[in-house]
Amino acid sequence: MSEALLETRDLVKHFGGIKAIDGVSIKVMEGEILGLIGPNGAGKTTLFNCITGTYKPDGGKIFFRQKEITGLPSHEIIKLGIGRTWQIVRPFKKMSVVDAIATGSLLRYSDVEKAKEKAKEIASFLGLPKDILEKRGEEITLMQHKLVDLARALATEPKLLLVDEVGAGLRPSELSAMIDTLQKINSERKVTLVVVEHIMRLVMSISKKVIVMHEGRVIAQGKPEEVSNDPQVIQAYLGIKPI
Amino acid sequence: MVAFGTGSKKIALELLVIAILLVVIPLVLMGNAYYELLAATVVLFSSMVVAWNIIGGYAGQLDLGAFAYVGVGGIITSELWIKAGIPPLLGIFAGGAASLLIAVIIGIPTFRFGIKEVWYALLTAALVVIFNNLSRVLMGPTDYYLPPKTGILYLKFNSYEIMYAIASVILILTVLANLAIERSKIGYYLKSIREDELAAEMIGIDTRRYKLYALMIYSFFLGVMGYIYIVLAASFSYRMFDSNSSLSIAIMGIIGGLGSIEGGIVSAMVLRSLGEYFRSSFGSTVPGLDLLLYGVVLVIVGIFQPEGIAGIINRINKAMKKKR
Amino acid sequence: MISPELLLQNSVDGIFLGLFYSLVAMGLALIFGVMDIINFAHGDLLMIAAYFVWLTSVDLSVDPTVTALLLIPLFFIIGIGIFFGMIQPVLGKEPLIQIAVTVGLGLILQNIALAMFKAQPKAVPYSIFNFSYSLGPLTIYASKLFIAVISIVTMYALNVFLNKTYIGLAMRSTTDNREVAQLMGINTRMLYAVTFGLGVALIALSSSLWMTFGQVQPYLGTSFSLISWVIVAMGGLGGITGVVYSGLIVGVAESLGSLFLTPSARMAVVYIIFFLVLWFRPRGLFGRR
Repeated sequence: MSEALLETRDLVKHFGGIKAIDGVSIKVMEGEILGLIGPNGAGKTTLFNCITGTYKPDGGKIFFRQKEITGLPSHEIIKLGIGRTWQIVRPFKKMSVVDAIATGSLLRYSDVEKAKEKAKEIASFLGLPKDILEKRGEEITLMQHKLVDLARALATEPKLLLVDEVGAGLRPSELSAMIDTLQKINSERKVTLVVVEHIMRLVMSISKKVIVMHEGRVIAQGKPEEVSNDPQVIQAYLGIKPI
Repeated sequence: MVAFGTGSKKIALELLVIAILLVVIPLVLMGNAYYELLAATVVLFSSMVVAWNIIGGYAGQLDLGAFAYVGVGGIITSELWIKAGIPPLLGIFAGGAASLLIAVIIGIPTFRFGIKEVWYALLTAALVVIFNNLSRVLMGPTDYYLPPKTGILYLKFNSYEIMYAIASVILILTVLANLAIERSKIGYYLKSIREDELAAEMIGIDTRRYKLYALMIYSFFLGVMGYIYIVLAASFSYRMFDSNSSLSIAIMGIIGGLGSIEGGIVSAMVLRSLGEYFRSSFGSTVPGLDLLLYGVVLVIVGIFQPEGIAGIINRINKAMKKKR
Repeated sequence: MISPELLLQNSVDGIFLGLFYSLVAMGLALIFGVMDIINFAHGDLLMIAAYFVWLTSVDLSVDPTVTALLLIPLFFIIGIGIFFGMIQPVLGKEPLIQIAVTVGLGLILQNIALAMFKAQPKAVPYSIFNFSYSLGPLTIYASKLFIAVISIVTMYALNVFLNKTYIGLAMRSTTDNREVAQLMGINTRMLYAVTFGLGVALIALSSSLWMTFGQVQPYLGTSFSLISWVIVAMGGLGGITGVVYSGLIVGVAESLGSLFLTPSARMAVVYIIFFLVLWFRPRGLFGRR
């Protein structure tokens, strides 16, 4: 059995009396696209926050490339090769798009000109039109924001990218484009993806494997078809029809 | 920040404007010692505001303790001369280093994750008062004077015209430092921290370290300027640790526009000159009119035009571009 | 050496002082908890209110305690006015600007006072509490006792208000979790206005109490602001009890400090305590946040 790129063991995180994550153990294999689904409050974003170091777990361990990263400060974790995007976009409003992406590249290339070059390259890889590069964060559309978020994270050259509900608010055509983009990132840039998503169409079509969380625990894992027919999963969602 | 365009054209233009300003002023004021001293003081204040821009504008921290650093640097430099005979041309580096040390002691705990920005503002405001009280205990209420020697070794001249030139050099150096920061990795990182600290962390930025860097650069510059301030003031005492002056620097920085070098300079020159006018004309009948002015303008700017003077210049630029 | 009686006297005075400081800090703590804003002009508002008290006592021969009855509702309204005029317009903007606006307000208040009243301290000519009793080796000053009692009563009333009324609960839940409170239908804007008004009203009460034995000058606000910040930093958001405990610590420390240190040194000590609290306990000594 090959070693996992990312592994969590019995991860626990509470807030006051609430157990947001209650003993979560998952493995993410290199090169795959892993879907992470579950009803609201299941603990998916909390899991992301623990992995990226924004939250310190109250129990359990996290391993990245077989090295323990539990409790490390966020910037070190990012440096080791994990990136993330945001559920609600977090643009650098007053910076130009190219500058924002370049700020990500600066992690790997200290020279500003080189970082900007890399930024432009990533922008075109993701299909961002050249004319928005000089626009400020506050001047672009939602879909463009999401691409910039992705670009900025990709600029740090992660091995693992955590994608948090990138589909929210997109029109069907934009959603299809996003599906293609994510697949491109995975296949051409060799970035492993963990995709948290509520929009089933997106997550089920690109994931090789899906993990379902509910109330802080993993209740099912497997191929998308298996998971969507699992009665426990259906019950947890109550009303969301499996595809 | 984008008032004059981008890139090296911008730098050349800015330096040209500043150089013109600095040359024109003495031609206008030549001969009158009062105005020469005033001009030198205004230019020095402008340098302080430009330095403040590094911590306030780029790093986004409300530093209200400017004169803690000015005072420490100035007094250390002066004492090194008075007590140990070290000429200030060298001594200012020790002064700057001393201020830097103080800044780091304040900075390290405050930039811990989870401490809100407001505590930094309070700590720095408190710092000035602590130093004021402590130095009053250590130095007593007396005024101290620098030795009467003059010359470049001591960065001290009886002619205010020359002091004006020294202050101008300091201003230009501070501006250059800001420009260098803006176009470097540190500048990008600081700007992103100010935009969204959490997002900045998620692209690998050690926000605490970079805020500390900004603080260190700013405090070092102020420490150096402290000595020139003492030369212009002709004496020093515990009163150098002045809260109102510290607030004024921050206020001028905000009114100029956070992150804008030219905004800070314009705001400092206008407000400081106006303030000086109020103080000399009305000082006896209506004390504090200058500070009242700063407070009122600050509130108005905060509510209606938080981007300050730079924001106004931007709007004018945009409007002019549209007309073309 | 210092006699045990002197120590006891100072400790008792320190407790009274501490209770008063808790009251002074309460307004700041309330506003900070609910709205996340540290009002830099907190102490300066106290100073302005104190000048009101002085004016009415001098021009109208009214005792400070009576003035309080008028001042509290007046300043409640003034507080709401300041909120809508200055605070609300900057609520969405970056924190630096929010803080800066209150700094500006403080400067404006200080310098208006300086221009109108000059720097000389002013005191109320006569107060009904000019007497004291002896209790064994202790002297109990009526004014200090009165202030302590009023402080306790007010904080108790505040406690009841925060726990038993709808508005009070709204304030507490907003302090805990703003988003959830909004989702539960709490009109945050109105709530903020009321909170700010209440905070300022508490300041007005404190200033009337202060003027029964203290003096006012334009820079009075600085020391009260500082003390309030220290108390809020120490008390965190531990509710009223946190503020009271912190207030008592500061009060007793200052009172005992006056035995050994000059006023300047005392101020420096308070500031140093502030630093140490932030260095070692950013979440306050008693707080939850």
